Amino acid sequence: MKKKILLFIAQNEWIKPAFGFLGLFILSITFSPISNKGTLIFLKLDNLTNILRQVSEIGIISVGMTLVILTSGIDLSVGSVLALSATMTAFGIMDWQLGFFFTILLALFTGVVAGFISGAITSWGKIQAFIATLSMMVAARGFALFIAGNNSRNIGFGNGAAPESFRIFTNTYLGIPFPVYIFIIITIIFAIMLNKMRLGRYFFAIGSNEEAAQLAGLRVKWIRTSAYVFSGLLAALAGIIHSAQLYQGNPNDGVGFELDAIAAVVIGGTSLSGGKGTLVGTFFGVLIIGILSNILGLHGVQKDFQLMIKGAIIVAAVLLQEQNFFKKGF
Amino acid sequence: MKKTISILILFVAMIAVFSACGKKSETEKVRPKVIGFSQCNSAEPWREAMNQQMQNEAAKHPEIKLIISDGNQDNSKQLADVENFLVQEVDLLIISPNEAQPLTAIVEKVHKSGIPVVILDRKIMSDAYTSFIGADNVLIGEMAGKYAAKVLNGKGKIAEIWGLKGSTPALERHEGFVKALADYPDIEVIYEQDGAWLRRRGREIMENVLQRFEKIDLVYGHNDPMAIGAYLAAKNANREKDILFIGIDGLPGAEGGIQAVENKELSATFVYPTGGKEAIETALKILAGEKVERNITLGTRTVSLDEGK
Amino acid sequence: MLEFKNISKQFSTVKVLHDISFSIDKGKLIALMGENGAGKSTLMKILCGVYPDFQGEVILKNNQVQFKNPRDAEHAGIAMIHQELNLIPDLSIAENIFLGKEPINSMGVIDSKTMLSKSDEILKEFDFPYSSRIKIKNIPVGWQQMVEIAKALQINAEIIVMDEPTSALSESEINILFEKINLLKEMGKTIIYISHRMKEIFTLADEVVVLRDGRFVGQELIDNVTNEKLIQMMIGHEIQDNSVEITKKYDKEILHIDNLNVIANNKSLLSDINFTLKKGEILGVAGLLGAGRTELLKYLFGELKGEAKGNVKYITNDYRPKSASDSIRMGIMYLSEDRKREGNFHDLSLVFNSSISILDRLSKFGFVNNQTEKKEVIQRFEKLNVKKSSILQKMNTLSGGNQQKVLLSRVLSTEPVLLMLDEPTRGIDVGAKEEIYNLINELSSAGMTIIVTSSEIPELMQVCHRVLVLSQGKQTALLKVEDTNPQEILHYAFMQE
Repeated sequence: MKKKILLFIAQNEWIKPAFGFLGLFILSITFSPISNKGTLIFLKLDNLTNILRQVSEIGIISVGMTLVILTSGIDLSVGSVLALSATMTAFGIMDWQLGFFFTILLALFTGVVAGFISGAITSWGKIQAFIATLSMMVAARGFALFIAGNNSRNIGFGNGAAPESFRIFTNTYLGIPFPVYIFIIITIIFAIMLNKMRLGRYFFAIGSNEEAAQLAGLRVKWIRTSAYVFSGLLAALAGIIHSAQLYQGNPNDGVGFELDAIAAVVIGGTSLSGGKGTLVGTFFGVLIIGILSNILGLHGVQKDFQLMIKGAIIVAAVLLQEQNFFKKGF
Repeated sequence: MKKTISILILFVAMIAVFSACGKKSETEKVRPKVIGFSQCNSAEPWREAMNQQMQNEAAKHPEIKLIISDGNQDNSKQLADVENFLVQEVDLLIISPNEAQPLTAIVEKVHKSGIPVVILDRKIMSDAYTSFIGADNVLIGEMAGKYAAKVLNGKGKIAEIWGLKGSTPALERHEGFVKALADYPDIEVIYEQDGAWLRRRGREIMENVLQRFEKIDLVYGHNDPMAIGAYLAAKNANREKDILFIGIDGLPGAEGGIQAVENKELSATFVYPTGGKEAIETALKILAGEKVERNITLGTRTVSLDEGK
Repeated sequence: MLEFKNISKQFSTVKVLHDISFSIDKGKLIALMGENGAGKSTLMKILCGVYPDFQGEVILKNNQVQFKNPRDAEHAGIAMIHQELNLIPDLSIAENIFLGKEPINSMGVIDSKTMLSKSDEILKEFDFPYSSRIKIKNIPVGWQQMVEIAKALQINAEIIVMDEPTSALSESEINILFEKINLLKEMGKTIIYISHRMKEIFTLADEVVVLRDGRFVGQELIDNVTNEKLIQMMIGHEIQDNSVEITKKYDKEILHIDNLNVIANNKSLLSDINFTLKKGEILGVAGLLGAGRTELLKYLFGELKGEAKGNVKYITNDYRPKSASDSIRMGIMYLSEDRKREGNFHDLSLVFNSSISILDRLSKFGFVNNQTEKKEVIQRFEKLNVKKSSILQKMNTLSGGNQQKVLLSRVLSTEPVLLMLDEPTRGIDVGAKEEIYNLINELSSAGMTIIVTSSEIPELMQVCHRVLVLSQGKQTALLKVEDTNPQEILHYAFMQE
């Protein structure tokens, strides 16, 4: 029996992050501050939906990041692409009057282009993903600042401003904010893609052994590029949500999002060397980061300690994943 | 497996240690009223001074408990901070917003839920607040201008180092300054440059000014650090004796403008009050059910060696 | 000297060793034999402390020992030389010998003088032709092997385990290695030698121990066994005479190469290649290491970047190989000689490894049909006799021979017209070799055209119809198997401009 459980854990990489999430959840309940009325603040429905809403942007980005990391790449440009997309959204809907549909299309398209460029530079230019996406990170930020003329653009509603339909991103349905639905749906769609679809398998193959994938007849360059395109697309989607949440497109936003996303992916059990990982794991990784920020925030723990604790958690999570590393290290 | 357990233990211990800090008053019978203060960026000295003032003031009143959160100059983070206050059921919210538009919706939500809101320093784009406390930058600029005119005896050449161009405080501090000098045709602003509120930039700009102009009588910095930076540049060129330096903010402490005046680096600084003390006072009034003014404008004062502190 | 007593070992649910017991005398060379997956490597890893958990006892010089890690084992005087060398290419020979055990002087700094002089001392015993200051990457693989042995001597190992030490060596290098091994025996070292090559066993070993399916089969003095007997012990039954009847039904021309030259980076990789292949024909490609065998196959597969001159005709059309994916679509498939680097997806399942090349066919609207996939894969695994506990187990849990079979199932799944197998039997035991050669014959009779390379000339002669010989990238001969002999092939392989 014990063996079966161990085997199950070994074969399902998302279990460890799921347990991590569960453990943190229980800890958070245990150490939840108590409100004046004596209820556990952490467990309040409002707080739980807050957590979900707060992580939804990083969550959507992390889905794309998972794909890229599975192919043993990395995408540092997601934070900048988010800012670019948010800026595009604000300007599209306010200044250029493109309307709801075309504004969103434009913002998403921007992300796709950014992702394609990163992917193409990595694949055909044979430049390391780290460098290629670092350049994109700088360039996309620059382009966003250029569009915005160095200022943020506020989004207002009414005549000559944003249409009411744009409120869909800030509304709450059945008590849950709309971005949360998007995050969950995106996670499900891409989890299905990774597990059931050809392209998903190809991502794993490239990450596991690129040479072998090439010789097995995979169009490695195109497949890898597509991972970056998805990453750019999802960063742009997160950017639209970001702009709607803050009623503003700010070219300076999204700084450091890439690191949060990478942390979530790694905590979720995806190997940075590629070929190993799950989106379910990433989902839990995102929640772990969200809950951690929340519970520390509720306790008023200051930034310095928050950062130290986060650092420790990331290392602990990775150690858990690589537990057998020490055994077969020889 | 052993490793898993040890990591878990570490984890528990860590959470326990850090949560212990925030749980002291849990057992007291009479719960203090909780005031949540959402600061937009504690990393700025002026805002750190604001936090300090509030804590000092709150410490005098055991019937309230003050929680301060730091938005790290990030709208999303500050939004989440306010959301946390909301679920924590604070009795009153004080907020100094990072930017107006992104935080308007959440402040409206807090206000609508019946929690009084005191807005500090920067406004939001709505009337959904109980009281606004802020200083008048135009007024402060004007005071600086009048002081300059007085010490120059109505005649002289001035270099002005701007705060971040386009930011409201910089525009207002400039506006007031110009307004005050309008009556003195012999005073001339010969150079203006954007110093982005930074001491380093103040120094760089002053180095250029010293190269270009033989005679400068006064340097006006939109804040103290830039004015001090300019002083350092002049001192390097051995010209600090011929020039007067004035700044704005007047923060206490070793790095603050008041100390710089005492050190005779600045000839004057104009206190831009943080409003921390006033915010707590207003909050106490609101919690006590008293009426408060909707807009409270803070006064300023001049700090210079001749005028005292 | 060393005794194994009732050793058993389990990986999760799979029991890989059952009750193995035997003992070894000092100063003897024991050949440890068995097919891939028989448990040789596992047993040796237990001995060397890589697997600290097992049942049973290891008794070293009358003391029971249980090593927690390879370091412990080294302290007890046991060293293992792995198939894949554990040397660091950018460090010098001396630095590699003392890796992790560097002598330190009074200043706390590595004492390179002592290190160099001690290394030279050890290497002198071997008539080592290189200074120990030279970097590992600058000496031939054969001598790198010697450095591994020197490492073992440096720690004063009394028992040295060698796992397929000759698999990457040329004939002359093997001879040198054997001299050194005899030297080790004279020094009184006990050697456990794992190899698939019968010839080596009979030249070197004093005794053989045979394992099969994780069980002990027998321990014999080398003089008491014959080639056939050993094979029988290893695979459990007698094998048929394997010089398979060649079906000669050449009709349709599949590949026609006319004066092919390939140049990359101003270096000629292939020159003067001329041959024609007909449907169902098996062409062997012989040559020394670096003669261009892999380059020829990779060029035809579209995975060798370079400038090509000459004509290649595939079936009826002119053919310019572009990329693996294009070639596969045209019915050309290639199996790499390097399973680890260019074949396996180590951490992924057998199914994944097997079906990756045919997902296009198995998918509808981009979704993979798992049922069909599973059915097809199981069918192929059965046909190829892949030994596995589940098709979901990870690739790296299989033995080398079974991994090779999974990769064969991958290349066959594309149903190629022209199949190119690069050293398909490298590092594989006799039984699996037989199976692969039988398979090649079967495929050829079914009309598949096959090009196969091997560094073992007798094997090529056994399976192929014709043999193409390369030397330094140049075609030096194209011989019919029935008109030639190994000596002639070797002669052409050594031929130089």
